[in-house]
Amino acid sequence: MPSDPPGTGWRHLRDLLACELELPAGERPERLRQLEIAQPAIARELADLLRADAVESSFLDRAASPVIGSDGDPASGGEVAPERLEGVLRPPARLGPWRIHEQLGQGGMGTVYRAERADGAFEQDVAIKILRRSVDTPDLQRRFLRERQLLAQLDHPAIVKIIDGGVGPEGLPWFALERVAGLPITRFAADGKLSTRHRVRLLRDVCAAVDAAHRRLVVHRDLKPSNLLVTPDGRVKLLDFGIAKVLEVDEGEALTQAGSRLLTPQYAAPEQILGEPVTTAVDVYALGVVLYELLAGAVPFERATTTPAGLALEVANETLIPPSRRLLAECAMNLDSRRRAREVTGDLDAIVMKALRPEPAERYASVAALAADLERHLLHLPVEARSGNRRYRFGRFARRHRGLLAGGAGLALTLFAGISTTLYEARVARGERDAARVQAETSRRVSEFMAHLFQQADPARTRGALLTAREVLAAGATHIERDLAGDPKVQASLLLAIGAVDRDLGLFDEARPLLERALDLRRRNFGPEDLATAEAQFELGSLDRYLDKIRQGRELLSHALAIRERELGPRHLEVARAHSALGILLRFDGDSPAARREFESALAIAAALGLENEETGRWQNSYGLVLADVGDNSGAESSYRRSIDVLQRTAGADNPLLALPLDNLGMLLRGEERFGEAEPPLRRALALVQRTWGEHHVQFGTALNSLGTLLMDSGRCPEAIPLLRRAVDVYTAALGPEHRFIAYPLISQGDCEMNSHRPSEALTVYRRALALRAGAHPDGEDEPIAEGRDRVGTALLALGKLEEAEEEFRQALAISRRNLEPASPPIAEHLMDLADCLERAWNRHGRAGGRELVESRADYTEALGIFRHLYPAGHTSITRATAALARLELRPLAQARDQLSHPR
Amino acid sequence: MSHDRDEQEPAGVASQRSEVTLLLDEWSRGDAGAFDRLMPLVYRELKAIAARQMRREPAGLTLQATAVVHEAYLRLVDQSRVQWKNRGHFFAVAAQAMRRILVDHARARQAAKRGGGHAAPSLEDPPAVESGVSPLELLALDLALDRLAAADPDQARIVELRFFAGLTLEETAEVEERSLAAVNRDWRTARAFLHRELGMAAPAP
Repeated sequence: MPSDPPGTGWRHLRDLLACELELPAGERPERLRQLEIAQPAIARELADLLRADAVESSFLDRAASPVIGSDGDPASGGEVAPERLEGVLRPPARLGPWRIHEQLGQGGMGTVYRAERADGAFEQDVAIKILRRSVDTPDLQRRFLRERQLLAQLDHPAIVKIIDGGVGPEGLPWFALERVAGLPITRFAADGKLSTRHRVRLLRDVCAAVDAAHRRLVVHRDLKPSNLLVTPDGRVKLLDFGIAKVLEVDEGEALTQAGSRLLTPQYAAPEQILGEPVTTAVDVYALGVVLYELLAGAVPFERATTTPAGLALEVANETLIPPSRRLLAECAMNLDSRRRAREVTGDLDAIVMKALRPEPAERYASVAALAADLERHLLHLPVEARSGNRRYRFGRFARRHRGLLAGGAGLALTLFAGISTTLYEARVARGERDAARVQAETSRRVSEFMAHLFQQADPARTRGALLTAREVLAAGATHIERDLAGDPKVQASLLLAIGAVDRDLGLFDEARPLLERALDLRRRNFGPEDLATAEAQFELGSLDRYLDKIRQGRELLSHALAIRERELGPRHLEVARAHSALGILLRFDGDSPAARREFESALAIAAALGLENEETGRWQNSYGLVLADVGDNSGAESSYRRSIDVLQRTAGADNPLLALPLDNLGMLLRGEERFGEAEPPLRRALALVQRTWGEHHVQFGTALNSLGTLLMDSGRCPEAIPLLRRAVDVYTAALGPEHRFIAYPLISQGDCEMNSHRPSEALTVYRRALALRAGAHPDGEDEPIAEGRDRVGTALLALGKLEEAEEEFRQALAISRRNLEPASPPIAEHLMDLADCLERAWNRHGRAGGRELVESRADYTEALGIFRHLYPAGHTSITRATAALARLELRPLAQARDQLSHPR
Repeated sequence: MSHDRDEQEPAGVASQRSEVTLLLDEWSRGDAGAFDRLMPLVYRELKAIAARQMRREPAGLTLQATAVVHEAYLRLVDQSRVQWKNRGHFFAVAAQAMRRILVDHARARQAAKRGGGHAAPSLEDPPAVESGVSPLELLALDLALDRLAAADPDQARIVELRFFAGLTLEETAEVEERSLAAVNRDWRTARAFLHRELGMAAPAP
């Protein structure tokens, strides 16, 4: 909506779009063409939107991260499905002299029941309305009863009489009303297909009754069709007069924002929604809304926001479309709505617009004046309303109320208060040694701190800007530094808490200075060797992995570990946890041998303590990873299997965590070419992932990729390809089309194409994979790029494009030489491929290719040397390289023989 | 909210539950302040549940936004006492809180741009996309939702309820106290709006 004022353009367009979507697709072009002639710009936008609607499988169609179950319906998730709640308050059996029967209806203010006199005094059937808001103080009750007296005196044939009333159990006020058989006015008009004039007459009658009430100084405040009934013989009956007033909390106060929640937003005047003083003008407005609805078949504004602040914002941005225009925009534009639009254009438009002016002072001065104008219209006399402007923007109104609209800022603020208090308390509960001692004092300080923070982020100070959670955190951190300097222990705990929140939010760079400061304070106040200091070290050390500050993290965690060992003894769960955290960091740093020792320690403590649970199951899995890193495949295998066993027993066979050791086990077995054994765990992991994360999650893509790649390795390409294609789709949808992960299933797909002797198809997918990797590593220097180039080279080679292939292999080799140790498998593989390429070039060029022969031989030889260095004698790679060299040595002989037998 | 610990269910869950239920009551009875008091409770619980999921080092299970919201509902709202209307209010708060959590996180991930390393895809180390949506998509959605809210707050809220709290159309209609047809219409047109804003529509022929 680039140029439109917010709201107006879109709402109009939205309604057009909704209409368009209701049409059969075949009829849309015709309608668009018509619109094109009348409103070309709108038609263009509409066409854009129709194309936007046609987008399939958008990420919007699944909830943010699909839950269990493929239909995206979280309710199907079993354990997390909240039951449907139909519950309403159970009514008391009796109220005063009335026996309560079945429920007749339910509205914003309360529930209506049929009731009859139970004391046998006389027979009388009534409707009893029990209100939602309790009046539970003696003062409120007195006021309620006084109000009820006033209402009972309101005697008008068109106003439903209040027969009785009181305060029931739980302080809920109730009224007994005359029972009326009637339909809401709009329903009555629609059902009876009433003419425009008839509708106007009905509303005029309503106005007369409302005017009578106003003369007795009773404002209705909640006029809406469900309160405006029409009996079968066509007489209007008004319900609920003055009840909104009864519900007001404080008589001295104008209707507050809180009070406005009792109203029906669609019919409430802007000043009610904004909590300004209420006068009879609110009833004028509501009658204008009802008239609009009677004429156009819809309320002018839908206003479904539930929060007062949101509603206020909405109201300030509304622009009224005259009822006749609304009719013309209707979907099924038929003769009837055209005729209606003609009838409404002019007087009735003007009357409605005047009743609906946002400024009370610009509306009709009274309901009587509105009634009089309707009467004039019915008599075909000039109406008063047509002297003013017909269109009115809310702009000026909104400007006057800007202050009110900024109320959202408080929200972000309280949010922070909540977080840090709880965190603080959680930490205390966790058993920080001196926490109990300082708790009383700190909680006082914490409350002061929060109070201050509230002032800091007062909308007045922030000029109404809405603060994000992060900004509030930042404000909090500054405040801690400055104002809590006198109380370093509290300061440290709060900093630790905020730092942990930042870290958990992924705000690693922001978290670090806070945690550093907390550690510094703890060191100085508890000493460097205290458990409190260890806690800060532990938190900061666990963060450092994310910041690539491995060495520092290692020191911190080692020190925390040492303190805990000394203070808690070597066999303590906290010590084991420190070992595990250190192990994770070390493995991340590539120091798997050291990581292995840490996990061994953690697991030994767990065994000594007799612990077997989800946590130790995870440690077993991590232990397996480091064992695999150091080449102990059989140790890794049994550790994964133990992890699976422990998790199954302690966390359940369908625990999502199981997917990790299952996938790790499967991939390990795949590496050992034990394809048959690898398949079951990978299939099980896939099923778990599917059930846990759903079919749109990146983890599902990964599980598909694992299984697909396994099947490709086992030579089952027809089965592998659908899985790999799906993995590409899942990754693309979940991570965007440029994520480097997509390259993995693509490469496996390409390998399948190569196996099936379709090099040009392989080349296409390999090139796509390479492009993705080049995007992820723009300097072009990373190993995955070398791998990608090598794959592209093999496809080119198979296509006979030797020069292009040679270039790819040389690039790949150069990259790997820069990145890796000289004796690395990828280098050897690139050398083999390059040598193969050169060999063929030499073969093609004949004697002129002496250079190729020499270099090919050198490359094969180097590759063989690397393989011999890496693998035991007899390894397939060594055989492969040896065979290639032998073949190369035989080439000149073969060529010489060829030339001898076929002389030119 | 440490990474390596499992917190027991706090003893205060029951009292928290009745507090939330009470605040929902107060809100539906018109106390606007109840919303502001509710927000931190809900946000906090969402974060705690999310942290429990994500804390599983080294597994790094990613966060399932909608599951988190529903779990929070079960933990925070007294099922026997809540009125259905209040249930709707809860989801309105939770969807908003969830949106904020995910957007904050996505922003952080974008800023950090970490994880572009070499590792092949593994369940061990999934990229940090907690919503099943890429951080960039999420941030773009956040901005587009703001624009939608400026044009029509109802529609933006429906998207929040559907996308961030994972409500079905039927549940959304129930929560919004509107007809299924009206909610469906608003959803479908909002979806088109967002697709257009996010540049997902096919170009004009």
